[in-house]
Amino acid sequence: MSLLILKPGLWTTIQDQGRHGYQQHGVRVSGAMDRVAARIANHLLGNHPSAALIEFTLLGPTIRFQQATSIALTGGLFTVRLNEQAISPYQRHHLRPGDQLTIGSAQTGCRGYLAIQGGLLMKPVLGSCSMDAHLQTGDFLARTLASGDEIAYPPATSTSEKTALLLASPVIEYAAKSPLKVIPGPHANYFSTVERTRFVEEPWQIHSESNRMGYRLTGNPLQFEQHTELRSQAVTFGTIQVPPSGQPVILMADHPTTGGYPIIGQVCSADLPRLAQARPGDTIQFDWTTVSVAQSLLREQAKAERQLAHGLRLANNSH
Amino acid sequence: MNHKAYHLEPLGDQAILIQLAPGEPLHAVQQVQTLQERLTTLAQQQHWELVPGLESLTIFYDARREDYEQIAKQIQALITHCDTTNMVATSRTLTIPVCYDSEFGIDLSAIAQHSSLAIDRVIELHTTTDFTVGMIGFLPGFPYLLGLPVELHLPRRASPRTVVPAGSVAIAIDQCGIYPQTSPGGWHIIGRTPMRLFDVTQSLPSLLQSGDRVRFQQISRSEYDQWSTPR
Repeated sequence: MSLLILKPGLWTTIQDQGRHGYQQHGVRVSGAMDRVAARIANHLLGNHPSAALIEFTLLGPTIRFQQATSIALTGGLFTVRLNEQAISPYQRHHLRPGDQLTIGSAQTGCRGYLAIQGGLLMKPVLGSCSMDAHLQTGDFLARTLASGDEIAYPPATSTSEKTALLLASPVIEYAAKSPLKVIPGPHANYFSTVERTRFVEEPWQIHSESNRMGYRLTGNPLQFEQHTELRSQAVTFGTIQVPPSGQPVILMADHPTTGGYPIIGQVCSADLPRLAQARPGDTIQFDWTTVSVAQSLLREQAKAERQLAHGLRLANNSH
Repeated sequence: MNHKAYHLEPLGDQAILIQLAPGEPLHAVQQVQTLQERLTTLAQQQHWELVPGLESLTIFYDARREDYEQIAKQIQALITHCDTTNMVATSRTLTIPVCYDSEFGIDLSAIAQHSSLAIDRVIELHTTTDFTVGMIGFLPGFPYLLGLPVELHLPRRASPRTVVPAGSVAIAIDQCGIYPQTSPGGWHIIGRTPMRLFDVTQSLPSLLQSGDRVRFQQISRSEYDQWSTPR
C-alpha cells in the first residue's frame, strides 16, 4: 500500500517532530519547520502527533494514492486539487484508490504539510523519520522526494464519511503582523543599547539564500561594541547569530548542533511556526521579551492544541 | 566548583546554558564533563537533553511541561557543590589510525612549509600528541580535538573546499578534527583514517564523546586499504 510521487514540487521532504537525544553526537534535530502545523495535520486524522508526514515548500507535489486512506493538509495555504476538485486545508478528506492529489503553489505562507492516516510507514533512524542527508542512510531520509518515489502507508482504519472541519489553524494566527518575540541571548551585551534598540525597531528582510538550515537576514548591519573570540556552544531552532558581517542569521530546523558566532537573541518557541511560514523576500520585525512571557505564550498554544486534539477525538469517535 | 566558575542563563525559552568562565581549554572540558555527569540522572528522569560545548553545557527541556526558574534552581542545587578539582578522570583513550600519504594528506606540504618543519616532523608531532575531545559538533560524529602542538597552529584556509572526503583528519587554529562524512570544509587536511566515526546502527552513534582522549597512529597505505573492521 503506497503513494506514488508523480511530481516532487520544489523542496519536498519527509518530516516528523525531530530527532531528539543525539545532539551530543553531532546529530541535528531537523523535523518539521512548522511543528504545530505538522501536529495538527496528524491530530485531524487521529494519528500520533509526531507521525511521519510530507513537508512541501512554495510549490507542492503531485501524488497518486494507490489505496483508500484519509489525508489532511495544514500549514501555508496552497491551491490543492483532489482529482479535478479544489479542496481545503485543515480538514479531513477521504481518498479512493487511484485518487490524484495536485498541490500547486503557496497563496500564503511557505510550507505545507500532508498527513496520511496512520502516518507514513518508514523505518526510523535514531528514533526519527525526519530527513537529514548527513546521516547518509541512503533512502528517503537522506534526500528530497523525487518523481517515481513510492512511500508506504497503512490500510485505512476508518470508513467514516465525517470530516473534521477547521479551515484554519486554531492555534497559530498566521496572519498576525505583530513582531516576532525575541529573548535576549548570551551575547546580547556585545551590542550597545542603541544597537539592541535598532535591532527591534528596524525591519529585516529574509535573504533569498535562506532555507531549512537558516534564514539570512539583510538590513543595516549591527555594530559590535565588544568582540571576543567565542568557544563553540550548543545552538537551537530560533537562535539568532550575528556573524562579523553584522547581518543576523536565524537558525532553523536543520541547523548544526553547535555554533561559534555571538548570539544576540532567540526567537520564542511560540513564534517559530509564523517564522517558518515566512518566505525569502519577506520583511520581519522583532520585539524583545522575557523567558517567562515566552513560556506563557507556549503554554497557551499547548493548551489550545490539547483542546483541539480532544475535540477531534470526540468528533471522530461519535459516528 | 565555586560560584565564580560558571553562571546559568536561558538560551531561549526551552534551554538553559551553563557558561563557564573563560579559562584553560582542557580544564574547561573536564569541568563540562563533570557537570554533565552530575546532571545525567536528573536529565534522564526529566527527559532533558544535555549538549556539551567547549566552555559550556546546554540543557534542553520542554517548556510546555517545565518552567525556567524551577529548572534553574534544581540545576543550581545539584552543581553548587560539584567539585572538579579532585575529580577522578573517567575518560577513555582511543587510538585512531591515520594514513598520511600525499594522496590523502593533501595539505601536509603546505602545513610543513607554513610551520617551517619537515613533513615527517609534522606527522611525528601529530602522532605523539594526546588529544582530548572538546565536543562533538558541525557534522554527526565530528570531534573537536584539543591539544594541537603550538608549532602546528595555523588559520583556517582562506577559501573552504566544497568537498572534503569522509575520514579526512584536518587541523585549524589550535584544534584537530575528523570529518566522518564527506562535507565542505575549511580545515587543512593532513591524512585520512579508515575508521568509521559515526554509525546510525549503534545506540551511541558517535565513536567519540566529549572528554575522550585520542592518540593518532600512523598506518601505511596498504594497511589503510586492508582496514576492514568498521570500528
